[in-house]
Amino acid sequence: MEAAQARAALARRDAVQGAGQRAHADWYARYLLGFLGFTVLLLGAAAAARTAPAAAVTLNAVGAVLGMAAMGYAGTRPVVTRRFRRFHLVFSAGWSALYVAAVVIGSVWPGGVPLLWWTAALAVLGAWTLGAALLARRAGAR
Amino acid sequence: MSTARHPRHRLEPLLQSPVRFSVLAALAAAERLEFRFVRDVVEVSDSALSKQSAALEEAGLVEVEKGYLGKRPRTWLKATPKGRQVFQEHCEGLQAIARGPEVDPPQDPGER
Repeated sequence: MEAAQARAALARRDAVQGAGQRAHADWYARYLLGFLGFTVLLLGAAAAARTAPAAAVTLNAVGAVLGMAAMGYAGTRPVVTRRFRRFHLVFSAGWSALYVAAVVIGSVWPGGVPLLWWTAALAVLGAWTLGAALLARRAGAR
Repeated sequence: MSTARHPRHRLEPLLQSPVRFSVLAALAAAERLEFRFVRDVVEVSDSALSKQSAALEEAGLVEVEKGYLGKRPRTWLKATPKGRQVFQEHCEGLQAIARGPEVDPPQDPGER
């Protein structure tokens, strides 16, 4: 085999792998943006209503169900990329931890300042939204 | 005498076929892929993909899973751990070939 043939084969590999990653990132970026939009609304509504912990935990369960539903949905898609399940698990667990921290520490702990926790939660959500947008952009660029 | 072997020895003969190479390339980057997606991305017919994936499955490089999505039958393809390793070694061989020989070029006698 000559060097030119080897380079052509490697280019073919990059092309087919890029197509798979684009197809996967396309739906997952849309899911992430939808999920983050839902979360922002949830946090905003909870903050405005001064949600009690019990109600907040119930709302969090809704988010967790959505996260698990995305995992199930991923299994039905034509493309599931490697390490997706671990990535999605980290994403969902991080989201849940943040939400629980905001509710429990901000609302229940004596001396806690809910406003600071909501602000921190929204700042992290902003970063996640940016990450999702970058994921979509990266997928489109390949 | 050098003990270094030419990188072509690291190539997997089964992957010399562009279609089989492309199929395993797509699968190596994924957890699993649906048959139709692989067919479209590799640009082959159903029968050609079926034949080539059967050859890869026989060699233990690919797993073929059949199931249903609702009432519709679906076929997924997945690279086995052996398939991923073979593909990685094959690509390393290709990269070595693409880089060219790694021996030092002979010195120009005029520089001495």
